[in-house]
Amino acid sequence: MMYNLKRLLLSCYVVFSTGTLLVWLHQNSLENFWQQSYHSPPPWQSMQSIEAWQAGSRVHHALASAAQVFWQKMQGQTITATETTVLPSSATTSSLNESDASCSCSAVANIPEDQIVETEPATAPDIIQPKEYAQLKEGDRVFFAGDSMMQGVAPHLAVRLRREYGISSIDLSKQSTGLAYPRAFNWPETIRTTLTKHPDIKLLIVFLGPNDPWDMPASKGGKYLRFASTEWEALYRERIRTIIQDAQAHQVDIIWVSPPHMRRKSLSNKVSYLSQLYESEVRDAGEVFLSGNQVFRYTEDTYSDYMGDQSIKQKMRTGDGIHFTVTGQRTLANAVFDLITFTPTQANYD
Amino acid sequence: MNLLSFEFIIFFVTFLFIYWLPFLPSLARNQLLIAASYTLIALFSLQFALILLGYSLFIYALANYGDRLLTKKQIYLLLASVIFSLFIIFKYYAFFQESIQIAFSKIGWQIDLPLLNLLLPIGLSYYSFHSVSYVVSVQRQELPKARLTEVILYLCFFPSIIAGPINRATLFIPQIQNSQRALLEPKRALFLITLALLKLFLFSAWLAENMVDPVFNDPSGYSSEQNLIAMYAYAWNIYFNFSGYTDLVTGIALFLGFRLPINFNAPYLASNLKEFWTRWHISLSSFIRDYIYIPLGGGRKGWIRTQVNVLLAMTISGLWHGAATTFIIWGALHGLGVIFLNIMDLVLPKAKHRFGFTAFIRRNLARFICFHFVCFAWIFFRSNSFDNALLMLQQISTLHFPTAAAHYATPLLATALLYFFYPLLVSFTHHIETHSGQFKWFSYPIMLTIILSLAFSLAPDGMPNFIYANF
Repeated sequence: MMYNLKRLLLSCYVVFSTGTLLVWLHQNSLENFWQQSYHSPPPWQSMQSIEAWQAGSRVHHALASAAQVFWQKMQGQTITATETTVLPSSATTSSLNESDASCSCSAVANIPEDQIVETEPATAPDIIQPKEYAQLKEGDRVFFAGDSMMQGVAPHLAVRLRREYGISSIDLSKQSTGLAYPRAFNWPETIRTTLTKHPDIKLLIVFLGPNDPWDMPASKGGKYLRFASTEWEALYRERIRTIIQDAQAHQVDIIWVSPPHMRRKSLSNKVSYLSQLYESEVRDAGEVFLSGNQVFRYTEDTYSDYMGDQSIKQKMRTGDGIHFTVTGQRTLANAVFDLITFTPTQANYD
Repeated sequence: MNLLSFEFIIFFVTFLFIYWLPFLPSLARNQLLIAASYTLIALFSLQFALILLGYSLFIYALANYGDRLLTKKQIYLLLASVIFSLFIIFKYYAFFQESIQIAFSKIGWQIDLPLLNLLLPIGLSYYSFHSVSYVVSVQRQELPKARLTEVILYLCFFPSIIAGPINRATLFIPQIQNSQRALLEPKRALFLITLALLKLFLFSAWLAENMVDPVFNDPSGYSSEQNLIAMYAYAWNIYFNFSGYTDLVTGIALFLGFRLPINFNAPYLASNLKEFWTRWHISLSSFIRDYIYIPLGGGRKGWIRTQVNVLLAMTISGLWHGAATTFIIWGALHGLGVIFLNIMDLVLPKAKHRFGFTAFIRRNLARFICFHFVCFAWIFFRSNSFDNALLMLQQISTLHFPTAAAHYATPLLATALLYFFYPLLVSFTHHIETHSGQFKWFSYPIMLTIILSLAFSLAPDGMPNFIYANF
C-alpha cells in the first residue's frame, strides 16, 4: 500500500522539479500567459527580485540568442551586432509597455502635424462625421486584425474581396489576443509596424473583444486595474485610439466590428460594455463601426444560436456561444463587405 | 477544466494524494474517481453531468435488468434507438434541419422546421460507444453484470471521456473491479505525458498555425505548392494532435492505475488502407468493425454484400465525426478505397516474394500510395466546406513541379524527410518508452526539462486544442 504512495511521491518530485525548472527558464513568457489566463500577477512574482531567479531568464535568453545565431549562420546570413542582439522578453516588454503608456504621442511622433487627428474624446460630433463606407481602389490591400472570431471571418472576406475586386489582404488575426494584455500580444504595435511595412494597405478591419473584459496590468506595472474602472477605461480607450490614429496617419480607412452578444450572460454584458467603447471611439474618429448585434439581429441583450429574428434558419453560433459557424462567419463577412465601396481604375471603365 | 491547464495539474496532483492514501478500499477509490469525473464535467456544464448520470442509470437498468422484460434483440434495438435519438437531437439535428430546408427551398417549397438551441454534451460520442460495449458484452455473457458504481465509473472515467480512446467493457470493467489497484509504471507515464506535450505544443500547433490553418481557410489565396504542403502538413498535424492527446490520457490513466487501449500504432507506416485502419484510431476502427460491420453481416454474406457493408461502416465512421458532408465523403472515400483493395485482391495474383529487394520496393511503393490516399482524404476531413475541399484539389491540380522545386524546396524537403525518417522516429520513441523504467529518478527532471523547454521555446503562443474533442 505504501508502495503506491512512494511511487506517487517520486513522481511528484519529478513533476515539481521539472515544473520549477521550466518556470525558472520561461518565466517571462509564462508570466504573459498567466496574466492572460488568470488576469492577475503570477504566483512567482515575489521571487523576481532574487538574483538567482532572474538568472533563469538570462539563461533562456542566452540559449535563444545562441540558437538564433546558429540558425542564421546555417542559412548563410551575415551576423551583425544588431542582428545578434536579442532582447530578453522582459526588456521587449518594458519597451512595449512604455510605448503603450505614451502610445498617442509615439504613434504620431513621426507623422506630419497636418495628418494628426484629434485625440481627445470627440466632443463635437458635428466636426467629424462618421463615414458610411470604407473606400478601396485597385491595388489597395486590406488588413485584418483580431482574435479567433476574426480568424473565422477573415478568410471569407478575403475570398470575396479577391474574387469581386481583385483586392489582396493580410490576415494577422490571432487567437486569444486583444488590447488588454500587450505583453502577450501588442495589437497597436503590430498594426503600426504592419501599416509602415505595407503602404498599400488602405483598409484596416478590426474584430476583437472577448479576450479583454478582465482586470489588466497598468502600463507602468504595479497594481492591476479593475475591469471597467475609470483607469481601466482610460487605458483601454487609449489603445483603441492609438490604433485609429495610426491607421488615419497612414490614410487607412477602418471598419471596426463589435462582437455580438455571447451565450454566457456575464461575458455578454462585459463584451457589450467593450462594444460601447469601440463604438464611441470609432464614430468620434469618423470611421466605420459595425455592430455584431445588428448583423445577427439581436435585440436588447438577447442571445441566440440563430438570427435574432429567426429570419435565417441556419445556426450562426458554435457550441461555446462565442464563435461562429461557417454560416455565421459568412454572414458577418458579407455585412463587412457591404460597407466597402470599390473604385476600379479608368482602364476598367473602358 | 482543460487537461493542459495549471488548474488541472493542481487538481490532479491533490486528487492523487487522496486517491492513493494507504489502506483506502478500492470501492472508495472508485467513488473518488466518480466524484472527480463528475466535478470536471459539471465545471463544463451541470446539464452535461445530469445527462450523463441519467444515461448511465438507463444503461445499468437496460444491461442488468432488461433481460427480465425484453429479448436480446429488443435490448439492442432499444439501445440503438436511444443512442440514435441522442445523436440526432444533440449532434445532427442542425445539419439535417438546414440541409432539408435548403433542399426543399431549391424546388420552391418553404419548410419551417423548428430550431433547437442545444449543446452537444461533452463526451457523448465516446460514452455512448462505451455503453454499447457494456450492454453487448453483458448480453453475450462475455462479462458478468457490473455494479451500479462500476457502470457509472466506466461511463464517466475522466481521462477518456473528452476524446477517447473508446474503452472496451471487457477490458476496462475488470480493471475497475480490481481490488489490488496500483499506480502503474510512473516513469513511463511521465514520459508519455512529456511526449504528449511535445507533440501537442510543438509539432501539432506549429504545423497548424504556420502551414495548415491559413491555407485550409482560404485555399484560393495560396499557391498550388502551398496547398500541397498544407495537405501533407495536416496529415502530420492531426496525427501529432490526436496521438499526443492519447499519450496524455494514457499517462494520466496509468497514474490512476488503469491501462487504456492502444489507439495508434505508427499509422503512416501502413502499406494499404486496411492496415491503416488497424493502426489509426484503433479503438474506433475496431469498435466500428465489431459493432457495425460484423452485425451488418461482415464478410459472411457474399462478396458484393461485403463491399456494401464496408462502404456503410466507413461512411458511418465518417458521420460519427460530425454532421457535415465533408466527413461523410471522407468516410466514403476510405470505404471506396478498401473496396478497391478488395477488387485488386480478387483480380491480381498474390505476390510471390515476401522478402528480398522486389518485396521491399513493392512494400514501400504501397506505403507511398497509401499515405497519399490518406492525405487526399484528409482534405475533405479538414476543409470547412465541400466547396473549399474542391477548391484545394483544384489548386493542387495546377501544381508545376519545377516551380515547386525552385520556390518551396525547404518545406517539401522537410515533408519528404519526415515521411522517410518516420519509421526511425517511431522506433526511437518506442524504444525510449519501453526503456523508460530504467531512467534514474534523480536525473529524470533534467531530461524532461530539456525536452519541454525546447518544445515551449519553439512552440507558437497559446494552448493547443484537441481536434478529437470536437467530435
